[in-house]
Amino acid sequence: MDYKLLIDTAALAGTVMLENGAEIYRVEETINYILKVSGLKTTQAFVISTGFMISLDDPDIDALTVVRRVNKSTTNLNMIASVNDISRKFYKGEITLEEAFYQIKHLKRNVYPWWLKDICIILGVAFFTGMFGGNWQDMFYTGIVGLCLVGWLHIGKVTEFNDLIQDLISSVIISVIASLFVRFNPQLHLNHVIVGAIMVLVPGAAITNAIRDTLHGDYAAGNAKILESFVRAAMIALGVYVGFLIMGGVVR
Amino acid sequence: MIMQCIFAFCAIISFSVINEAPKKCLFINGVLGMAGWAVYLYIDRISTMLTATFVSGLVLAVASHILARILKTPVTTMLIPAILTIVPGAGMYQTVYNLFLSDMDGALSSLVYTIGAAGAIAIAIFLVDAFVVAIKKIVKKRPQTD
Repeated sequence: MDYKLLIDTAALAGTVMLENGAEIYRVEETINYILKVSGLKTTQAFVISTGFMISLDDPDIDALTVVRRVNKSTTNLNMIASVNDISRKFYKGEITLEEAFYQIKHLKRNVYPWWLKDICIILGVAFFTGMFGGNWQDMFYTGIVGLCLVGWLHIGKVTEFNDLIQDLISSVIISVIASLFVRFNPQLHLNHVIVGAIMVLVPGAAITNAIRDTLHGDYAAGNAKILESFVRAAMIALGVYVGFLIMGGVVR
Repeated sequence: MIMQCIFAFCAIISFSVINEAPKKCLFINGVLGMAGWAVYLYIDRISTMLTATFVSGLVLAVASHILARILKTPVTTMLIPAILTIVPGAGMYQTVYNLFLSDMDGALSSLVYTIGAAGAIAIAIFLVDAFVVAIKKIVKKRPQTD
């Protein structure tokens, strides 16, 4: 067996999973599954939320070690599911090593086109407003807030701001526009509009992963995720506050 | 109330698309979100908001563990979108709003509620995960497909 390709495949699988927001124990498990196919004595994976080291060793061969630094951190559930699937198939011997490497390398990043995701942000915020008890009018105006949010998210991609600053400015925009609407249309419920709109910014994935990582004993990663979700939540709250300040007070 | 649950269904499907959930999970995620929100609304009416969050989190975690095994997909792909309905975004907003009105009592109580709700979700997921790990060890099925 080509150990070099094997450890490369494991590293690639780990990188893809970690970049797309998988839990730490799942990344370790996947790397171990791939490495165990070699049948060598020592297979180790040490994963933290910003990178990992994996090692393959046996008395007969020189030890192979790979270190990868992972910078990106997004949420793409489909990538996690696909890599998980490929690694399990490889472990069971349904596909060869070359096939596994090729499949992970050429995974399609986006299942849905960008315009569908934009529409879903607009509809999503409107539905969240309805979910929290807003009426049709609230939902409609939240949809318009969502439209502005989508516009900003596209600008934000070009400017390449830090994630936290993106969240901050997004929630400032939400609260400014929502306050503006309420000023011109006093029948609107400000709280429903804002709560619905910030739901797409809330770090739900980070919170869920923080809990699950901590349970599995990955305290380093769990801590990092908890900090991330707290800071991002604080940024969103701060943004709403700043928006109120800009609009010169809350209109009830 | 029924309308609210239907909105939860649509909202969670939209959110799943934003986070690129696999296509086979979309509908299930919507149903999970709707069920979670229905449980939350019902228990919120007869009990407190924290109990509602806890029970809803428990139901969602159990359901997504079972469904993930049936559909052969990682639990994350269902749990992350489904849990979003009960994440205390509203509490966060209330805290800021009260702070802005310099209503410290209101701000503190909403802050405590927000942290409490986050804790309730955490304990719910904790418990279910721990049980799943225990069950896995008892069954001792080696190649897992979750």
